[in-house]
Amino acid sequence: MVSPRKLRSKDTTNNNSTLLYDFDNINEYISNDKPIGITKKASDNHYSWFGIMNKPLPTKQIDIIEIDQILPRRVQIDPLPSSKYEIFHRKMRKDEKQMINEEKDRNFYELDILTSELQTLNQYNWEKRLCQITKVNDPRDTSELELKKQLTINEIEKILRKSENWRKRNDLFNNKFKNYVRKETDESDEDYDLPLEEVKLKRKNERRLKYGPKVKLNLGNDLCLIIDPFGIPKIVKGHAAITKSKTQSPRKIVREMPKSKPKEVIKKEVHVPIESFKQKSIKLENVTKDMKIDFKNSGDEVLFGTLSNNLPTFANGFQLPLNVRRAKK
Amino acid sequence: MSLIETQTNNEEQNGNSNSNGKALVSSTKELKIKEPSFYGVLNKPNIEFVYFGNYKISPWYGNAAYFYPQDLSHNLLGYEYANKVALDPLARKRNKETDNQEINTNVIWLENLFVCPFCFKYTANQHEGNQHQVLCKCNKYRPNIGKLVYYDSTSNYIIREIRGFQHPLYCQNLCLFGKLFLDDKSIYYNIDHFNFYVIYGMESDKYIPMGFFSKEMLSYDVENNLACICIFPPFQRKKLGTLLIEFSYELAKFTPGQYRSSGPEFPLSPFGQISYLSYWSKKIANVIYKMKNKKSITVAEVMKYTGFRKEDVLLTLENMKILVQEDLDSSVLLSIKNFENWCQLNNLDPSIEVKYLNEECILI
Repeated sequence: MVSPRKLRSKDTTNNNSTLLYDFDNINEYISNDKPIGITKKASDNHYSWFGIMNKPLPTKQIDIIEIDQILPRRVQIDPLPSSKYEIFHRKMRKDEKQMINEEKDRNFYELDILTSELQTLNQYNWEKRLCQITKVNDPRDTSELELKKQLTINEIEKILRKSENWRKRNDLFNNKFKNYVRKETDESDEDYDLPLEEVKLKRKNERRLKYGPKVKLNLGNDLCLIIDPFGIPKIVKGHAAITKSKTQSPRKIVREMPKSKPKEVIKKEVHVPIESFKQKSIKLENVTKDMKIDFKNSGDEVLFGTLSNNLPTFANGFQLPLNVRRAKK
Repeated sequence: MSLIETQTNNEEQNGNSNSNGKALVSSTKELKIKEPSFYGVLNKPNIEFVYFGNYKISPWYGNAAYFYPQDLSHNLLGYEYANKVALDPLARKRNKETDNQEINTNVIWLENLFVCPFCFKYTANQHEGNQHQVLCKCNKYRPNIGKLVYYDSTSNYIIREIRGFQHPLYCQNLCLFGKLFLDDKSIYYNIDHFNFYVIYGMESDKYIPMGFFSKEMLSYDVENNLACICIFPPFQRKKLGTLLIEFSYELAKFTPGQYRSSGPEFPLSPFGQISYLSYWSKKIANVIYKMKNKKSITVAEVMKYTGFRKEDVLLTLENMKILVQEDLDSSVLLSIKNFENWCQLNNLDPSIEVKYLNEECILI
């Protein structure tokens, strides 16, 4: 008779389904941008990661009958005013909010757990905890443990950052919601009668008011850092004219630049000042004495590579520090 | 396991634990709530016909959210029951006492629902519905609710952005109506943090709503550019769904956090999956055509050109059956021959970029 007792290391019932992370099972083409070679040959050995989607479609008979509506000619009072739906919709909204809040509470609880996991991983007994939350093939292999620890920490930090980002957006939205004053208008939308170009310009200005303008910083050597609220910061060549003129604003100069001159986007081949570009993601406490931070701050009026008076301000109040502005006066 | 996955599962569990759901399970024998269920979801349509302007439509799915959760007889629409109880507070008690006798065990709770084709207000009374349509504030030649974000006067399509917290009743009624043609919609009333993009098309000399998609402005995942999409049955097969999908990607270009890549909220419904895969395939085919002379490509490169998420790109390539592998351990290759066969099979010229929107008319 076989004994039911067995070593824990031989226990196959304890599978990895309860683990939070499995870094062995990640797709390299998605996570590590592994190149996919191109071949001219045909093949029937199809690659499958997600599994081909062959779910049967639910059959829906499109049963539509066109009818002739006979509407009354003279109606004095609307039998369906908005107030008629108010009580029921308010009650249902409250119920739904309650459901969503319960879900939020559960998420906050999970975030708390993740925060404590992160703390444990930064303590002396992290190896033990790591094996409980992340799939580790060989617990005696220190290099694997170190790698998995780092990957787990990165993943937890990513989720915590995401949650922080959500919290900030939530606060902004709640502010907007509180400050909104409802006004119902019966008038036709004037945008229909405007030329499309004019409406586009109007929208552009609305966006600028909402998210702030595109910020351009002259880095010298004909290079300019462009920070777009919708895009990734880019370093562009060919914007040296911004600081050469003292009378015009940078935005005006950019607008007047000849369109024939193509803007060359530089990715990796940046020559000078290399350190300053790398420092985009560097923390202040990591800045050492031997690093060169050159914003070409040559004159009194030039700050961060542009005229201080011409630095655009945000609609919601971004301005230069008060002492800098006072000093200018 | 990420937090997002947990949220999705939680949503399902939430539906089960909802008191409304429990009440319905106990009340109906034939009409059971789906397991696992979402709140408001029924496994069969509970309304026989919906009148929407000049159309009489059979709903595809049930919608319990039109009815008051505690009213087990389902004789009245939710707002009628709530108003009745508000006027006569004792009515609720009387109803509770008689509920056991009046439990509606029929599959159909309501025979006819009349929905205003301009503002989506609903009633069970045809006369009221018709009278309302005449005086409806949204009954105009061109809609004025929300903000104009797309205006194509040649093909006569308008898209308007309607914010949930600015026009709550309109958006709530839109969600309720949309649920009749969507399987897994779960939010109908708490729509403050959603934006709705409604497509209007010309019919009988007037622009009327033909479909919509919603976008969660406070989505936990910043990359979600669409929460749900629905084209109303009378206006299907006009490629309006694809037009709205393309619009959602244009909109993502102006949404902080979605500039690089974005996509719809998962899981996709079977219909949603078909529509998206068809759209993604056509767009990606053009990118592959441009890159076919290279030695290799990466999923990130395709993402950069299209704005689709990496997962969506790989899913599409896999679904097109153009990724091949000699054996399980070897590297994946993209077969140009398979790609050409796919294009032939789908009658697509990959050298031409397929566009559903008129770029000149985008007013985001």
